[in-house]
Amino acid sequence: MALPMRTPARADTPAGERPYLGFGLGLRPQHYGEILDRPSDLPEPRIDWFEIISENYMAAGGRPLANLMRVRDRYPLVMHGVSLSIAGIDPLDADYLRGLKALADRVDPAWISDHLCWTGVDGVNLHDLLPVPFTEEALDHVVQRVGQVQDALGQRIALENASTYVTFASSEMSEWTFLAELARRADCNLVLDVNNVFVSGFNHGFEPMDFIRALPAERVIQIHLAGHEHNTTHIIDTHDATVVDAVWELYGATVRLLGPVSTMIERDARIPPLAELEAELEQARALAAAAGA
Amino acid sequence: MRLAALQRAFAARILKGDPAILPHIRDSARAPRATLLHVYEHAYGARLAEVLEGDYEKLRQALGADGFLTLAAAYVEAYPSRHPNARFFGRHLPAFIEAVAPWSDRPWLAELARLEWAMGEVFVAEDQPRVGLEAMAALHPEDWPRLTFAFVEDLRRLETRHGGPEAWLALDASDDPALAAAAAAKAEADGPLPQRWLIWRMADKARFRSLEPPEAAALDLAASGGCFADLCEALLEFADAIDAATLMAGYLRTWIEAGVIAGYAAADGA
Repeated sequence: MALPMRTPARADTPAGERPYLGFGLGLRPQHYGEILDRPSDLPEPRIDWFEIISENYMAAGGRPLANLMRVRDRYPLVMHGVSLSIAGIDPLDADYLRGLKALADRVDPAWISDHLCWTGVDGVNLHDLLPVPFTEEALDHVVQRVGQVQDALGQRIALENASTYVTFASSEMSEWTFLAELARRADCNLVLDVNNVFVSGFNHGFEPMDFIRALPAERVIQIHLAGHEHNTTHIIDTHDATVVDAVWELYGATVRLLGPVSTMIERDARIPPLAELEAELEQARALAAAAGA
Repeated sequence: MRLAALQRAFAARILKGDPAILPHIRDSARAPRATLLHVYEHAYGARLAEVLEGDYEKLRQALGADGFLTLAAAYVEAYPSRHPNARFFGRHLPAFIEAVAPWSDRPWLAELARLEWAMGEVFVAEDQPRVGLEAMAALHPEDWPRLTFAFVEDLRRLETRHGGPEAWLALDASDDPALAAAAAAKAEADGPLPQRWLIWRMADKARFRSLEPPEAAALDLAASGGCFADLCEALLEFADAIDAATLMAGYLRTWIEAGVIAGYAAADGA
């Protein structure tokens, strides 16, 4: 009897054989020129791959798509969405999933990710990564929806830990227990945002390494790094500044623990020239090298 | 609190400042829960205002940064986002400006907004094949009268009565909102009204230009399936027979060069 065929997808690499892309950046339109139309006397940027914000290229054509496809010709891409609302109570948006799948068919990303969060309710979209109560009810709900999404996309997805500013009285477990259980039960991967662990750790008073140590290492396929804004009583995840020293330290400890994990820096506001982000990425390379990762 | 109730209460806090979620949230060691929740409340309005700023750059110039934020806050309250992609959030802003004072007192603002939204739409529209001049040149002359045309989807038309596009041009040349208002007033006074505009994409850039009445009439007829002979006939209102055919051939050439013709076919019979 013939076994059903599965399209080989890199994100479907068996657990324990984590795909590794190296060191990347979030692709931002401000950098198209420096990436695509670089003077020939300048060396190629030391960037191994790019992550795109999926929504920016869904149902799009014209220059945005043309630029994306030119980047696609030269670099591996990863798709990162902000609108899946995997923990939301509204039904999953079929149009959105179709658009996501169409984009994935076009760019053939190494993997597709979004966040452990909800983004709206009763048809109203709040366009934010809203916090999830860490309850058995929410876990069951998210596990079931990850299954639906993975079926619709025909591949595993990865979910990222969001920065959060509040905790719920109803939570029954830690965020890391929730994520580890989610990855195991839904058979999905994780994007570990080290800055977000630091931010949430400060905001909610937990030890960041307790979080990271509890995750199933083989399912962490990507690391995010970013800057934040410290407001004394709480930290806000702003993605508008360089990665702070404490987060670099945490990153170093993370790669010592996990080994090589594809790592990237996210900058969404006050975007500097590409060379500055390349230089920042060198710091990640150096820390990973020092960790033997 | 169950997940559904919790999400509804949380959303009500963000949208309306509703206190029902407060008992279900913990204070942190350093900050009370209301302060922490405020991060989300603030981010909601700020993020959507930023989206609007990206879509309506000229409108923002016309209103000034603070004036635009006032408009954005009113719009965010009136039109909660109903699309998962924030890119579509601003699509009702022109209608909002047209209907709600004080913005409705300056009707060129709504026209300016309508133009900017259309330009944004054509900029990101899906790519489509376009007909080139060489394909048309290869046609037999006897086929021409029966030719009908399909237009690309990234094509928009606009009718204005208050000089919105002239305000756009003034703002493109200078940051001075007073000059924009003056340009709009002049266009409105000079007429003829309404003015008709074509908005399209060429070389990956959104563009717009005005249409004289004969070209606007020909474009309307062509878009509704009129064949080349019909278009020439329609132009008889503006020119004699020989000139009408020449005029029409000129329009067609302009449209093809602009890349707005997606295809053509020879109509049956006629």
